Amino acid sequence: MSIAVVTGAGRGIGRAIAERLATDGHQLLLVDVSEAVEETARELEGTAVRADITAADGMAAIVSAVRESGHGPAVLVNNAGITRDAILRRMTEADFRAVLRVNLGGPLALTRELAPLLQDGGAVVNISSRAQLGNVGQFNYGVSKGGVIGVTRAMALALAPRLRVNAVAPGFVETEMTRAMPSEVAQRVVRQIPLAEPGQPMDIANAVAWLASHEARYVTGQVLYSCGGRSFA
Amino acid sequence: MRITVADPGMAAALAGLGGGEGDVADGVVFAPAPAATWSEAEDELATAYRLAREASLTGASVFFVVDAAAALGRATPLDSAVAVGLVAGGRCLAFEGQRKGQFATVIAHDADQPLQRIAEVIEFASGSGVGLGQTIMTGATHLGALLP
Repeated sequence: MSIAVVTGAGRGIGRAIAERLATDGHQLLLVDVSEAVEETARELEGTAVRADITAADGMAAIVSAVRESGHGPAVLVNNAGITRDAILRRMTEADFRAVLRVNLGGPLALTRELAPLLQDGGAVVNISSRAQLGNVGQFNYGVSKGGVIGVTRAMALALAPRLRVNAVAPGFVETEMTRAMPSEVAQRVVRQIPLAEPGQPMDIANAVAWLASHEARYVTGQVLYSCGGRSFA
Repeated sequence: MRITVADPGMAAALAGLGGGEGDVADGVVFAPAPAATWSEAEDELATAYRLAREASLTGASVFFVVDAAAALGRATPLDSAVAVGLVAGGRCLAFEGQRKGQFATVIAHDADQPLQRIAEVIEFASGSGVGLGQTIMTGATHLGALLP
């Protein structure tokens, strides 16, 4: 049996990752602080864990659910993330720390906890962001997602050859959050994308699925930018 | 310049540029201490945030100094998280500050290079504007490796 653990799986990109990994034959253990994860788990016939990855009891609940499954996971996807955008002079320290804890502290802690339980040959996929290459109003988010790349590289070295650790860096992806943006702002962003359209959650899910698969067995410590070419344009 | 570095040797090497009580308006230099726990790593990054925010209020230059090995991922996950987090933070600062002429960059210092090299890079970058949003390596450890 192949189990995949996906955080932030209640909606958006995380839900798409769960759907894609289910298609690939994984049994799902889906984590989210939101109750939306229960509906996702029901639809995909997986197990839901309502947990806050920044809290000790949340981490314990996830580890406990993994142990109760009776199988070491083959895949861990650290997707849960938040934004608290503001230009730096208006950004509060509370918002800086909140973003760091969820986006960086969470993946770091969960990977440490679950790495010993992952099957040999297993894969960890972390969700970074193209924003770590630089964005206005996202100092907190950029630091957190750059940090994810540091964790990806360091853990790829520390856990090799038993496990692979990689990252996907999405660009502008159409989700509930981005659909709420003013249309002129969204259009301005899209004009900067060589492929001339926003990504879809399944585009990110497909990249994650490949890195998690045996087809990527010789790939570790890498960052795959799924951003329509925006990373260099 | 306001110099906030944990390593006493580095502080001594940068003393000619300023010190712990230096004027933020002249620029900010921050080098994180190694972290043994997540709490320590978060505090180091929060210090970077506070200094960068202070600098942004006056349009002052920001220099983050990180360990080159950590920036490449050849360190503990905590130290690499902090180092690459600051690499990304430098890029975001540069992006945000470019319209008002604010300079931000990251110096990834090789442990086998003299600490004085950091001061030389800061003086050069400050004077020339070279390296905006970039990571400047002081040694050779990165050769052949993909930079983050």
